[in-house]
Amino acid sequence: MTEKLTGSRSPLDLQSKLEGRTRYLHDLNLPGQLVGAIFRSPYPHARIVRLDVSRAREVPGVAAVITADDVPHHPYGPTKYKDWNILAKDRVLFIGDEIAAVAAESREAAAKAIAAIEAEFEPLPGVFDPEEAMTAGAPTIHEETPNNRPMHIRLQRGDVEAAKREAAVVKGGRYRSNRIYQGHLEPVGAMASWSDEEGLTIWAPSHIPYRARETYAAGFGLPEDRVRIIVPPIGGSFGAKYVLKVHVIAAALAMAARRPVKIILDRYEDMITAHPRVPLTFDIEIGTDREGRFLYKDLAVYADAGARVYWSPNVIATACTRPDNIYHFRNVRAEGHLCYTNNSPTTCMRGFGNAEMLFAVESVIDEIALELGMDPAELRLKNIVHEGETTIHGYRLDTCKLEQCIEQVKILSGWDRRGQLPPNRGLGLAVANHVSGFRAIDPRFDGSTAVARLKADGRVEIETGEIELGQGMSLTYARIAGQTLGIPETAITVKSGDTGRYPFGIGTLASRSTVMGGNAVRKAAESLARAIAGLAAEALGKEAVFQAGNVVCEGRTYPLSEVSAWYRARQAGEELEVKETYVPDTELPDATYYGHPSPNYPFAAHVAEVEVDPETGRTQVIGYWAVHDSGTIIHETMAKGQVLGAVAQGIGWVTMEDLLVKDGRVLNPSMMDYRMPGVKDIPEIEVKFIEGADPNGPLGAKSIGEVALDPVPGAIANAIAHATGVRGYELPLSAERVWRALHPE
Amino acid sequence: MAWYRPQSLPEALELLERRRPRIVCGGTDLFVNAPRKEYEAGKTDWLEVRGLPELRRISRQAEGLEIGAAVTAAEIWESRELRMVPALQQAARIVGGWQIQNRASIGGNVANASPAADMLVPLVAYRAEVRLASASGSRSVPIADFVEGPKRTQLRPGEMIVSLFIPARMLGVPQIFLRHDQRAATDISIVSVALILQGNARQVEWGTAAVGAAAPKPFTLSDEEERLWAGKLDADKLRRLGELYAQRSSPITDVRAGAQYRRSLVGTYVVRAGQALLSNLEQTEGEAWR
Repeated sequence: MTEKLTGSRSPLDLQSKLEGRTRYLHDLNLPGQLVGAIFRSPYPHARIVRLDVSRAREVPGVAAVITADDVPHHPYGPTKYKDWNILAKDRVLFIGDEIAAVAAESREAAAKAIAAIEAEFEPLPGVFDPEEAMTAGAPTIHEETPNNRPMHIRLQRGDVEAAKREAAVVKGGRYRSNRIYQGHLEPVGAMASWSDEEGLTIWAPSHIPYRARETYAAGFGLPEDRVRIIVPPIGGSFGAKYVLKVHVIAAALAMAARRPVKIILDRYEDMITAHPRVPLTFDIEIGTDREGRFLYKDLAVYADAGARVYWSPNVIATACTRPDNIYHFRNVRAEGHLCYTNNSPTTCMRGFGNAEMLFAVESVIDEIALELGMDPAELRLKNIVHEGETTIHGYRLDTCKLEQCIEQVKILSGWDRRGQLPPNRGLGLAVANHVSGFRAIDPRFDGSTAVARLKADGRVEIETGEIELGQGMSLTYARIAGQTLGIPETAITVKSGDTGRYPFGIGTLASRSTVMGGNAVRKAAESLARAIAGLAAEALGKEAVFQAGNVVCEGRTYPLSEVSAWYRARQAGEELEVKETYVPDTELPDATYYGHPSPNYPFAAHVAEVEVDPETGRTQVIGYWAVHDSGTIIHETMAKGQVLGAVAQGIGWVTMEDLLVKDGRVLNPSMMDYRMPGVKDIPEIEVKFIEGADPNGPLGAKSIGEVALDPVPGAIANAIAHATGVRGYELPLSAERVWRALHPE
Repeated sequence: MAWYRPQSLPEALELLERRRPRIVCGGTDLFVNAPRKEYEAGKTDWLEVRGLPELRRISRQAEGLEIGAAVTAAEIWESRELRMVPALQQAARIVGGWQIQNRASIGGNVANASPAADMLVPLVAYRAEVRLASASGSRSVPIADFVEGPKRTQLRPGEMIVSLFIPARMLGVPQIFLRHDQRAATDISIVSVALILQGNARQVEWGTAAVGAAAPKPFTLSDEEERLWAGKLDADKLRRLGELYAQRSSPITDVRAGAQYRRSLVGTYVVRAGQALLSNLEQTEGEAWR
């Protein structure tokens, strides 16, 4: 059977996965395909003194061996910081930095060739901590950035110094969020092919394929339309699979060998070269008056970008601003330092700086409540934003049901028990906001485009530029189009994931897909309904109407397959098709980070209940309640799935997960040593939605994917502090770390 | 690479003598590690012992209980005959996940000699013997001697583990296996304890415990120190025993836990094992244990 190489999927995607029929990158193969492998730096920082690949070229079965001498050296990268290369020329910047690559007939031959590469290095001093990276005398990682700080954020609204003089209660400290391996089931990989006619085609599980296309085209000095990215079903990403060097190297090998090349990293290689969640250090201070009214928030953030910029600038900018749109802090100041180090580059993960920052903010707020002798829920209710308000950074909250979320989660969790819990038990509350797309993701434009097409058999096909990554986008779009057209969603096929075939898309990040892509799908479906009505009038007369999925005229019903035939008869066999673009009414945040960047903003309030074993420090999450304002819920099963998955992910993050890196080396590069939660670590999770249509969302929806994770670290950290009486400042709050806090030497 | 699947123990020992292949049973350690240990795993010859009838038996004898090396973890915890060794059954039930338990063998767990091995810990507490065979004969070695250190054993070239032998005096005696790990299931132990107590809370006749993952190999106390278990066992004495085991441990710091934390857990888990056994004993007072 020949492989069907396509990125399109039906709404029956879930069933295919359950039955093991979904064909991932691993399952796709091209005739004449070679196996790619990468020769990487064993040093965190070194000069390449000698590199000899001549023996590798002689290994039987080797089709191509490439080094820096064989690839172009254009400045490129996925953000405005163009610090990427294809292969390292004379210096390597982290363990795993790519030096050479091999394409061979078999995995064994590729491995043999990699082993035959001879390299000598002169190790250079490395720097592994962002604060140390900024100190005088620290080794320079990129010559264009002598202070190792590619991005420096400074913002202030109001007068923090004046507010400090008025504050009656001040709490804060140094909090740290850790490196989280995104833990996708499917390892990282890519398949690439080159032809003079078609240019470069890359099969890559990327959820921002158009940005990937632009980035890789720049790297190879090709026009953008000479690069096509096809996205196979993505086996989990959570932010890891945006734009990756393994895609670029597969492409470079395919160009050199003139044959298709596939590289799939095994878990070990994936993890030693992982691009984890950006670890952040927060120096935070929040001041209030005697009644618990917030007066200011003062913040400094240090972010470890690693040796190259992936998505860290956007993460630190989010950390510096996003939580200020939940509470009325009245005066805010933030300074953010994004620094290069000799660690593997860090990137985004679900929550994107907001979840990390909220861990610190929500912890400090509980400390303030403790100091004031106030119920932490009460303190939050006193300071939160409300519907109709514009936040301190300019977010216009057309809808906001955060207050109802907090009230509801108190009821569900039995919050009033909090004062009478048995020993070692704790209840913790945290709240969160997020965006539904973010205007600054691409400063040039925002929005989404969809095509709606009436097929010959009467089915409707939707094409979108957004990407399904398991979150349920296709099901959601089918439901939006189905409801708009009045036809069953099973009569709709949603296609996406091919830059050569489908409309342009900015990508599935910043919780964009439901609102941005969904609005485009709604517009396209409305437009198709109008076109069908127009065609019916043309065919049957002006009495014809399109209702409930059929054309009706003078008591007779015409199914869509017949309508399609009318169109094809008139238009040389072509199918009826419309294309619509949704452009949100948002503002690009200005140089001070002010602006209304998203069509709407989801909110959530979570409560965690924990039991901490004081002798072992081990936390068991024994209850969890999540109440969400995500506007109208389009697909409840998938929306709940997003929350359940996020809470499970958060439980792992807070209680056990930690990618340990020492002097640039990952110490636990296996799923055995990098512990993630299993089913027994996850309690019953109760999810509730406070529904209400948002005027800017498709069918009234707001986003859910990231806001579901954002409050989890704060809620669990607060529950642990409540159970033990000791505040944890550093994630993860692993059993050993809690034990240390409870048993100081 | 060759893959040998002998039908009998003599045939296996002959192949082992002649070809010196690597012995494999469930492969749950060897195959997971093989790609990284030797990139060219294709050069290794393998001797599969899973199907050898001599290694598949569980037999009760007057002197004790013999468990064939190829008996799997799942077979151990499902076995009615092995209800006499509940600590071993508990350890077998916590090894890896269900899929691993269906393949992993008790002999493999001993041969792999991981400091964090689970089934090894009750075997050390039982003073089990490792029964070995080669083309030139057979011998029996106390398990505490057989395991020399992390991943090191006394297994000689040409020799294989045939069975584990548990002396009769350990059978049916109240016993428990407890382990501390990082998550609720499918994990590697940070500290584990197997405790065996004969008697009751008012009068313990004798007790013995082995502690895993807190030293280069599972350890017990000296005979003299171990006699401290005998007599009345109250909370204070149990705490002191816990402290003694913690003192005798020599844990390391690795990616899973720090040494100081592990040492503290040794005491905690010895106490917990004691508490759990004593409370079981009280509940079943009057019931026959043997």
